[in-house]
Amino acid sequence: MKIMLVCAQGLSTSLLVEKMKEYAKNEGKDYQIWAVDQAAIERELGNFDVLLLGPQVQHTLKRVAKLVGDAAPVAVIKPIDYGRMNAAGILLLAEELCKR
Amino acid sequence: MMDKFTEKLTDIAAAFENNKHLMVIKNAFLGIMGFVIVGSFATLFNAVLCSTTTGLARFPALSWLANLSGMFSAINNAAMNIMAVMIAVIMGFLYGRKNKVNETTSAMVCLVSFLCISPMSIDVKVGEAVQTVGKVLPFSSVNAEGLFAAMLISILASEMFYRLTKVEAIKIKMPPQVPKNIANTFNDLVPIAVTILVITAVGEGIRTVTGTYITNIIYKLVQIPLQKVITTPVGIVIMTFIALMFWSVGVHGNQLIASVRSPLEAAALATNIALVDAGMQATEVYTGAMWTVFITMTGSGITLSLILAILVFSKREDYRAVAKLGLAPGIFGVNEPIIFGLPIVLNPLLLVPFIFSGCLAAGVSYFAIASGFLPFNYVATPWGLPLFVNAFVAYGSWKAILVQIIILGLCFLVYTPFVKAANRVEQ
Repeated sequence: MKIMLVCAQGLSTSLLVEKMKEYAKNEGKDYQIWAVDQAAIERELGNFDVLLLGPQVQHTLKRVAKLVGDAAPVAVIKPIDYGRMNAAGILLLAEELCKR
Repeated sequence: MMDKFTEKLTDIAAAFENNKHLMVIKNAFLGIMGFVIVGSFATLFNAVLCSTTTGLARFPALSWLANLSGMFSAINNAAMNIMAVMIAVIMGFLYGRKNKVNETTSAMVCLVSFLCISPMSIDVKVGEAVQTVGKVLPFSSVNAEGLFAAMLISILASEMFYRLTKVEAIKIKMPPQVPKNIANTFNDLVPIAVTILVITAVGEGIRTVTGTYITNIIYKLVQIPLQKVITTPVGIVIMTFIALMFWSVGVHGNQLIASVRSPLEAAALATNIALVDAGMQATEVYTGAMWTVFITMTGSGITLSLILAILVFSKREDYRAVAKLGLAPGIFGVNEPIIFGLPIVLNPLLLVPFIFSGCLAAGVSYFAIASGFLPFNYVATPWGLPLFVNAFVAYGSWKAILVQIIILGLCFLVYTPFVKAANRVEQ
């Protein structure tokens, strides 16, 4: 599964990406996880199976969902999971979105 | 009530975010950031290396350093003094992308339109007489003084160009045997011509009536008043307050007001650089560095002070865990773990010191610079430098680190009673 995370500058989310990669690896899951800034979404279209927005850019959800269309599910990471870097919870969210 | 408040602010944020012009302006200034940093460092090197009065070149053994001054001046002139041109080109390009028309054509339409309304001669004093020298582009109209003119003209030119390309009636019909690209080139031609013609005609008309170039009028009637109003202490505190209000519902407030801040910051920095380059005293208190180094130091709301207050006074395990998680990113100005992890967002107890701390930092740093305690900033500082390092780079003085420590200490005092109060709230 290819999971793309999006935040304002791609910086704060890159911290989280490392945690998620580590967690996925320990679980024996072969996931591709990376973070980009908002402006890069268009360029990445088609590269991801699920797109997760950081809560600080949750107000862009409508626009991003429209941009991505049917290509992949889009959701906002729960603020508390994002802040406390709950890698397990966020990966679960991604997996559930993909199942749908 | 909190729900309604959140909904309102999120709606405003979405409206901002969906506004084409504000986003193009924000991204255009992101685009020139690297060049502004290089240009400002060239001025810094001139001052600390090549200057025979303030730099290392004042020592006889290092006097050869003065020879490098021409190089650094050239870099500074090229990177800083055509800022309005850069903005016109990048904005045109970004509009082209958004409007789904040819990006480079859109960029050139903006560039040429902007230059068409700019002066192309300069008055030079030769003895007593004033002579007009033609066929030149004076820096004074294409540098930061031309920023708002370039922005306004780019908005007009790219929108006009885009709309004209959609008009079927003016499309030049080619036989189907002609390759599509050739037809496209011709189809852009009329919109290019009409856009440039209309903008130039309006510019010339205004010049004939008023005797002044429209670029100069926009500078005096729009740019200067905006700069004056927004960069007063009250203006800066209000800007900080607005950014923190958005953060308080979880929206990235700094990004949101970037389209207002960045043009003013770029213009202020350019003013300071030009003055320092001319060996004079800089005048602009508020620059981008003040925002990065002091007002949003360790993240909006000076959250490192909150982290320290938690580590000293908090009895809550969850708070202490989040504080430890947020400590290292905080030093580099990343505070999302704290904002969303504690959380501060929608937490009435912590929002009060959060918003107050940011405004306090704005007030203290303004006073430190305006009072002359700190030197003025003329070095653009990239975001993401660690605490203390960023202050020294931006202000070239150990006193800047002292100001950071004072702000951290004051905000620590602001946060402490609220952290203690949180001990009594059930986890």
